[in-house]
Parts: sequence; C-alpha cells; structure tokens
Amino acid sequence: MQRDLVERARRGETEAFDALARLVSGRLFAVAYRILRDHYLAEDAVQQTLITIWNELPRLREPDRFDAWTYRLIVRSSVAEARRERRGGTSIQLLPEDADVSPAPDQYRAVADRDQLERGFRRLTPEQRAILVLQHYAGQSLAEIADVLGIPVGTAGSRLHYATRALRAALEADGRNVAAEGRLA
Amino acid sequence: MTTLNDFDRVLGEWLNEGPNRAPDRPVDLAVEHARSHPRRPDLIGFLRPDPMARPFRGLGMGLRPAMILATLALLLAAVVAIGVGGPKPSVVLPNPSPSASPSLSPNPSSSPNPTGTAPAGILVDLTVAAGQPQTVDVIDESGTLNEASSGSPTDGQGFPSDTVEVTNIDANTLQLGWAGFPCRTDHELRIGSDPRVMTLVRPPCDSVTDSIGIDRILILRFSEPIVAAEVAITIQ
Repeated sequence: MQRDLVERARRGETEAFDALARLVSGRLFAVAYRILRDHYLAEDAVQQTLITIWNELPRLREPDRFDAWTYRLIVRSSVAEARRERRGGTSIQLLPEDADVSPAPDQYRAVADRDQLERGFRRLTPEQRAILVLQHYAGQSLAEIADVLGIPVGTAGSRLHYATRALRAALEADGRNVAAEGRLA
Repeated sequence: MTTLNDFDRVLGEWLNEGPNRAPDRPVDLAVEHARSHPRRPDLIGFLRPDPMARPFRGLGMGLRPAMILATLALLLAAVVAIGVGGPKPSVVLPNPSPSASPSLSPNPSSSPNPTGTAPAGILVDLTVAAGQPQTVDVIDESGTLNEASSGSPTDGQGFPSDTVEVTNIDANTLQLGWAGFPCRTDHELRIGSDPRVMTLVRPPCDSVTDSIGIDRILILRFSEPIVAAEVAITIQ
C-alpha cells in the first residue's frame, strides 16, 4: 500500500500524498519528539519533513528506500529545529489525573530513573540524541543507521559509542549532584 | 541509577514512552502546501541526483582512482577551455536597461534578457561558520540583478538541507538560505530570464559526509521589485 502511495505521490497526485503523509506522520512525529523532547518543535520538524518529501519525492529513484529517506529527513529536521531553538524554555510534563496516588517504592525508583534519563538526555547534542533514538527506539542496526545518516558504518558505530558514553557520563554527573544535594539537606 | 548491564534496556523502555501519533496540524499544513504547490513537469528530473544515492557504491576500490583521474581530466579540460575562450568576468554589475519593464511579467518566458548580451557572472565568496570555502557563481539571464553578496550565517544548521529558503529583505532584495555539507563547494546559481525562476547547482560532496550541514546565505539585490513567495528555486 505504501509503495503504491509513494509511486502516485511521486507523479504529483496530492490525494496520494495526503494518504501517505497521514500514514507515515506518526512514525516521523515519534522520532522527532524523542529527539527534541518538545511537542511543538516535533510538530515543526514533521511539517518541514513532509513538505520536503512532497518537493523532493520525484528525485527518489527507488520507492523501497522511502522509509530510510524519511528517517534521514526527520533526523535532519529535528537536529535543525533543536539548533534553531533559542528560546531556552523547558517543556512541562503534565502528570495524569491520578498522580496523587502514592506509587509503590519500586515505582519511586522508576520515576527517579526517568527523571534522571530526561535530564541526562537533554544534555546531549541533538546528533547524539538522534543516533540513540534510531538505535534504541527505532530499533535500527548500525548499517541502517549509517544508511539513514549517510555515513560509513564505522563512523556510525563510533558516534553511537560516544553518544552512549556521553549519556552515561551525564547520568553519573546527575547522580553525584543528587547525592550531594541529599547530604546538604 | 542502574547498572551498566541494563542500561540499554532502561533507555529503550524510557524512549518507548511518549506519543506515537502525530497531531493533525503539521500534516494538514503539509498537505495544504502540496495542494497549493502542484509539481511542474520536470524535463531534466532524470539528471537530478537521488537523495539516497551513495557515491562510489558498488564500485571496487580499484575504480576509485580511475574516477578521480577522470574527474581531474574533466576539470583540466574545463580550465583549458576557459583559458582559450577568455576569462569570464568575475564581477560584473550590469545596470538595468532603461527599457526594461518596471514590473515583473506574469509570464516567465516573456521577459527576455533586456541587454541581449551573454549572462554575466558574479562570483561570491560565501561566509560560512565552519568547514571549507564556499563560492557561488551567480549567472543572471534576466539583466535585473544589481548585486550579489554573502550574508552572515550563524553557527549550526538553521536552514533545511533540501530546499532553499527565500525571504525578502526589502522590495528589491532577496535572501537565499540553504544548508549543505561543510566540504568545499563551488555552487552555481542561474537566474532565468524571469528572475523568479532560479536553479542552484550544488555539486555533490564526496570528501565529507555528515548528517549535519552548515548554513549559506546569499543576498541578491535586483533593480526591480521581486516577491520572495513568487520565486521558485530548483536544486540540482
């Protein structure tokens, strides 16, 4: 179905592009959100990516490469959005309505882990976040990541290594800060 | 927080939390864009590079030197041809002909070069925040371009990679912004007989392949008003 839509959208059929955009937008938004950690920036990245898809689709020779191409576009748009963001604002994660229900002790630990991950992840560069999202969220292999980013496999492996190391370092630094604050309290 | 052994698992689980469905707004706006920008027939589309093509893919290592030698030979031939044909003026500021129409023609093909001479080239050294030198050879076939100069991009990639963003600085001045790899790139910008139709030739970058590009900004000052929204730029 997707291949047919890609072929028809390449020929300029806007109805096919409409259907194709709705088909792939969820995947694109999910990746953009996880890189950017911001709903509105992710929306902008998706919109830019879809417009680029419409403008550049005729150049894509192999429709089977559509998914990899769109991953490349959404990563680029997301990184560009992250760099463009000069507002310096922080997004607020709303708690569900039953948030006042006290969690079990192991749930406290899980919440603390997530908060630490959120802080540590935000300390990474957009490029580092992107490569971690491609592997740990999109489930891509190193070869697929290299294909998406247009880099050699060895370079992809190296970048993944450094991104992982940077995140671990950020988490350890965060853990030390939390421990220090605990001693001061 | 966790041991290193389950780091990947925890990270994966955390990344899996979050939205998986896109809001309607960006999709609706993109579809609206597509409806308001129907594709024009692209007669030379087969010449444009595939965005997912990989240079030298499928070629053996032994063929790479041959490709490089062939490229060098072509470059040498081009240099010789330019030397025989006489140097191209590097900076020419053609004054608009007094007989040129003061307003833009709605028909792109009905506004020929008013000077009737060969298009003049303006070689612009682009200011870039990082990477290798970048130039643009601006070929104006409309005779309405007064000046071409570089803007001052900031660090990082602010423009999309696959399109050129066009904005009006004033009624007669356009800013073109795009991004690309930070390798040495000698672009060519052809402004058609209708100055609203342009083609940016961007040679592929074989030496540096990175997911992140750098910005380029080109400022074009025309002798007549020009509206950014009416400008169509094709990237080759």
